[in-house]
Amino acid sequence: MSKKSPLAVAMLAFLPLASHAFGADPHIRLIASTCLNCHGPGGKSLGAVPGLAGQDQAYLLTAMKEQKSGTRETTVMRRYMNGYTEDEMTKLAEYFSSLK
Amino acid sequence: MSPNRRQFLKSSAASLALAAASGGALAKPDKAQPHVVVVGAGWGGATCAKYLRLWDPDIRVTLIEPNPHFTSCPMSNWVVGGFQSFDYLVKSYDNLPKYGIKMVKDLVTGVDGEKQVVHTKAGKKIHYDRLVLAPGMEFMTETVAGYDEGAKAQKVMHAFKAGPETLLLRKQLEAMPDGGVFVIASPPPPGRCVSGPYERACAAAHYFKQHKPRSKIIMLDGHIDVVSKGPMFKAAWKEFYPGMIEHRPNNLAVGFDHKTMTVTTEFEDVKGDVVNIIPLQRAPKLCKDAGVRNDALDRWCNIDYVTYESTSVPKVHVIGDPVMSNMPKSAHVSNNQAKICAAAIIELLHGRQPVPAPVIGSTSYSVTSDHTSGSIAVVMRYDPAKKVYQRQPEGGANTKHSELDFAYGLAWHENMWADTLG
Repeated sequence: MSKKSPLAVAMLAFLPLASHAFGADPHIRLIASTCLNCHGPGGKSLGAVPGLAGQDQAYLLTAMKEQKSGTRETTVMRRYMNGYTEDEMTKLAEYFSSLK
Repeated sequence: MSPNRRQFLKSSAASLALAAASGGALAKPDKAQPHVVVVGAGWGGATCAKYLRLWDPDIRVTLIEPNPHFTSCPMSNWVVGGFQSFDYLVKSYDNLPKYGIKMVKDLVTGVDGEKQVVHTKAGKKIHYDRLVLAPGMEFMTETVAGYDEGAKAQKVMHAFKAGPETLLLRKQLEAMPDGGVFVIASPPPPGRCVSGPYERACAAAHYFKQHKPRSKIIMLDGHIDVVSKGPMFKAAWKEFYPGMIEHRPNNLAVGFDHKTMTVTTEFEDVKGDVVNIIPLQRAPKLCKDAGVRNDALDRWCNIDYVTYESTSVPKVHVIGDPVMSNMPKSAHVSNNQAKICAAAIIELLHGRQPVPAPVIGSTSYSVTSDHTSGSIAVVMRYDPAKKVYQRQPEGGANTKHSELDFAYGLAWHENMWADTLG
């Protein structure tokens, strides 16, 4: 591992789960990254669109399934959820809930 | 400091910390590090450079951009309509070096694919292991006779690259008398932001309705219909601006006489008090010179849809507007292509297989007034057997504009900026 600056080492202490997120399934990590331009970098939103980082895993999966079925009212999300498989939704929920 | 600015900075710090935690984004460059050069710091290029470093801090990244600031094309119609300031579109590049990206303020003038070197206007020769071209598009102004003369006289503008032309258009609309005619001539796809001209008509109509209600907007459309968000736009025009916007399809502008302010199409001559012509577009000359503008019409760049590597020049990748594909040429898609490309380059540099079937999302919001928007959203999945991105079911545009979409559109802008530059 390359030598870190004291600043980087200090930052490490605050982000224990970051390395876990980087170790995710590359396919899921890539899909998740394409969610961030709406939901905010690192899953932390700056506006009306909800943030995803650290949300409860079961809640995220339920929300995605309800968006897909149409039982939950959405604007763009039903159109999005119809593009993902159930397996991808399960893994995306796990991924975003792991982000802090 | 505004709350948004504060949140933006907070998010920047979080992203930086994330990069540091992943293994040394702040580490000094090493000669053994592979070097990726990214040309153009727009939505695609800046995102690609940032995610290369976030995902693999062992890669050295140089980002070359001639402009001192980032200027957003999305939201520039808000400036045309007078409900946002131009300054709001301008963002700093100051956060990008914090990820370990080397920013070079220069213009790339040539690419030597054999030697793997880019040449710059300042006379630099920069070697790359992988090159990413994200230079946006250029206008084929030669397809509109008289356009260049008219533009020189400031009697016509495209205002489709946010900048001085955005302000020129706004100024001319402000100076136009009540009862005047504003002509918007737009090309058929493929081209940048196909919904942009229709959104522009809404933004201008919103302004006219309040200040010059007898004015008229004539849209000379090179396409057969309102190509993006059609039902939504048409309903909004009827509801908010009855009788003000006249859409004339199948009417590609082929000429402009700035002395008489007349646009000539394939079917008619139309006079305007303010004339905005958006010509056909193609991948910029740099792409042609690099040998990657290689489609049959010499307009766009054929790429491998898994890696975004050119089909004609190895180790040169192309993202964003110049790409030949069925994906929209939008900020959102450029940002997402940048991530797919960055991930693929990392795998290639490590001798591994890139993600074989990338999934890309496409969203855009268009304002219909200063408080309503419509949206489009679709997921596209790469099909390795058919070698094409397939649109997934249920995707598309909504048929009604809403205040909620306006709020989400605003949040989209803030998060896009933070994801790309923050």
